[in-house]
Amino acid sequence: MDFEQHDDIDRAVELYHATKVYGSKHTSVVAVNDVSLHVELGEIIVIMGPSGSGKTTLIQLIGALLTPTSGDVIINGRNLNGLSKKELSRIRREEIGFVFQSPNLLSALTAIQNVEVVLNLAGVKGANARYRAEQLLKQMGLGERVNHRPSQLSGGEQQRVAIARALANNPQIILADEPTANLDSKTGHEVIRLLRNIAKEQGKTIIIATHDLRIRDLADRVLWLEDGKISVRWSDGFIIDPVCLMLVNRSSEIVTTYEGKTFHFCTRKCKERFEENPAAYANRGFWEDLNENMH
Amino acid sequence: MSVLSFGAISYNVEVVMDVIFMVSVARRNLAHEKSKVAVSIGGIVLSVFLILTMVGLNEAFSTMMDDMITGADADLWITSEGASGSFHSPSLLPISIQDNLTQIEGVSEVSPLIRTPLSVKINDEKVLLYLNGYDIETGLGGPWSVIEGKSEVENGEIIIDRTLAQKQGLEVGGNLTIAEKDFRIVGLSDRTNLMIAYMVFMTFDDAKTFLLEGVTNYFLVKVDSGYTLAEVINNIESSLTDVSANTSTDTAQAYKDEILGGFIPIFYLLSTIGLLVGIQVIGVLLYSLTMDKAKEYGILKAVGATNPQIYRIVLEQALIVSILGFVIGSIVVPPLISIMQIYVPEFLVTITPNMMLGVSLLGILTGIVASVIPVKKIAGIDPALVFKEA
Ligand SMILES: Nc1ncnc2c1ncn2[C@@H]1O[C@H](COP(=O)(O)OP(=O)(O)OP(=O)(O)O)[C@@H](O)[C@H]1O
Ligand SMILES: [Mg+2]
Repeated sequence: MDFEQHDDIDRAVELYHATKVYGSKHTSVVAVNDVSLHVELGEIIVIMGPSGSGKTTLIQLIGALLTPTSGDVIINGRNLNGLSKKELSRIRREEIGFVFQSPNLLSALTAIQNVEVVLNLAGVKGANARYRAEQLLKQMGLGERVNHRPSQLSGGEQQRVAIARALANNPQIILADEPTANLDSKTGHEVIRLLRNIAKEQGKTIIIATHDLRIRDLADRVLWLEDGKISVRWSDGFIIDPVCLMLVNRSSEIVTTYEGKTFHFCTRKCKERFEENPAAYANRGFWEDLNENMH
Repeated sequence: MSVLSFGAISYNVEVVMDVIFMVSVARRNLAHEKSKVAVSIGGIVLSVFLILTMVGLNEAFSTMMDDMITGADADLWITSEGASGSFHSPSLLPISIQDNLTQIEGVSEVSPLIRTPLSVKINDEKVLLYLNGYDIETGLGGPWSVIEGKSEVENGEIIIDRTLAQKQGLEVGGNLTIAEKDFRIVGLSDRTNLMIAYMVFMTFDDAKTFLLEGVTNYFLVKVDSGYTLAEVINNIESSLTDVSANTSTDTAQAYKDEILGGFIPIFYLLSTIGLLVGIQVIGVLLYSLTMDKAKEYGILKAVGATNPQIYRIVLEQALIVSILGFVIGSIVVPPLISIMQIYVPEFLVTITPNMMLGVSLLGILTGIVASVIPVKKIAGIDPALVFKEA
């Protein structure tokens, strides 16, 4: 893929040769390695890749939370390089909504106040903020829960409050890092459906980093990240762990065979669990399906 | 009013305020940690107690010293040269110079005054009295705040400090024997407890029997109208040798310097310790509140709060706790001191509106100082933390 650097207002996110190196010299880790990428307005991108491949780092670069070691990150047409801390805060506040792995709500505040706070930070105050927060929570199906504290809400409800908070200042871009990792599969699906509806109804750009292969269905485009680099294609070197559904290297030594098929695992633990009841895992329909689709 | 019910009230006020203004993360955080806040407020109240007591003691004593001199109603105090007149450097003057003084230009009236410490036994207990023998003709140097009985004495009569009376079970109408001489108690005087000695008032003639023959401690001088104090001081000091003349104000100042001078550093030290305890209490509270919620500050940063916006939260928390503590302290401490004074009469503390103002300002200052370390901690929080699992 060839990326020309030019101003294009139809692009929500542009990365040009973005590289992030953690640490220095002999302890350095290249977490994101020369990534170039365009994300169009209204596009839903899913970034997949094995653990440690740089997904979170990439999200943080796009989210103006990390400065690239080299290369450029452009959000809604503005290059983040050289912007002041204050300006980066403003971009995070107004142009980007974040959804994290854990809901990360403020524990002393009720659901509605958690949403109001970010509105307040952006200068929307009083009854206006309260009204908007209430509307958002209603959209998330939390109309009856507005005055509950996070500790009084289920994991899925908390995550929906977090999504309402991400949407509060009506940002063009939503960044989500493993938004379903802490949820059971049913709740995870609900959250995904919610994100998809928002993207389609409101024309938001959504970038989701995940291990969760089920999220693939929601994407306009799936990017495969490996060792900090984006591959266009699903790498043949990877296969899905049937127990935890994480992607594992085919060269992984943790393997077992069942009914003539070879299964790979991320850890011995997954392997042990598989061996306790191979039938339960080996026949997971979507596993077969996904592995084939991906190839 | 308990702090917890205060919390409940403030919570409801909060909800109303949020509708009009903004959600206050600071107040919410505090409302969420009521017991921690209550303990801290308790600590601040104690610190207010310490500060007010120390400053109040200092105030009470310095007013008392002032009254001891200015209450004598003289324009000038004559002492032997170089003697300030206090306990530590007593003044001794020959009675005979009274005539010389009277003849000096600008002097209208001269009275001798004895003021001397005297150790006596009352009810088999050793008690230090501060004997005050004044001229009953002029009344200069007589008692200035009698709360019970007569406010003047005749020979054979005595007015005593009320706390001495209370401690030793003495009453108006009763007797007090001093060095085998019997005195009838005719009045009680207030604010004349010098902590190390109790003041008693008697006639000059009675008092001089306890002093060397032909000697007094002071002469009190009234100045003729038409002369300035400085002129008369000059006249006195140039016509008499070995004599100092000072205005009441200067004498009072010298008195205070000498008697309180040794205590003032202690007052200041203890008040400062009180203040530091207050700052420490709020500091520890804020530190623990901040550290408990370090990740939440990271979240706020990640979703776009600027550092100043977050500092404001910490500062607001600090100010709420400190001002609340100092306000409750200022409400609770003065009556507490009054109650304690019933049981400990020597506990002489004066609280003035200025002190209350000072305490409120200290409250604000304390809040600001106590938020410095937490703010520094927050500045160091990396918002990327938010992406790590708890
Ligand atoms: N703060 C950091 N300091 C040093 N190295 C880091 C830091 N954060 C991440 N890394 C390293 O950078 C690489 C990419 O990490 P990153 O968290 O972006 O991966 P990931 O794809 O999100 O992994 P996972 O799926 O486990 O969340 C890893 O090798 C990781 O060890
Ligand atoms: Mg990650």
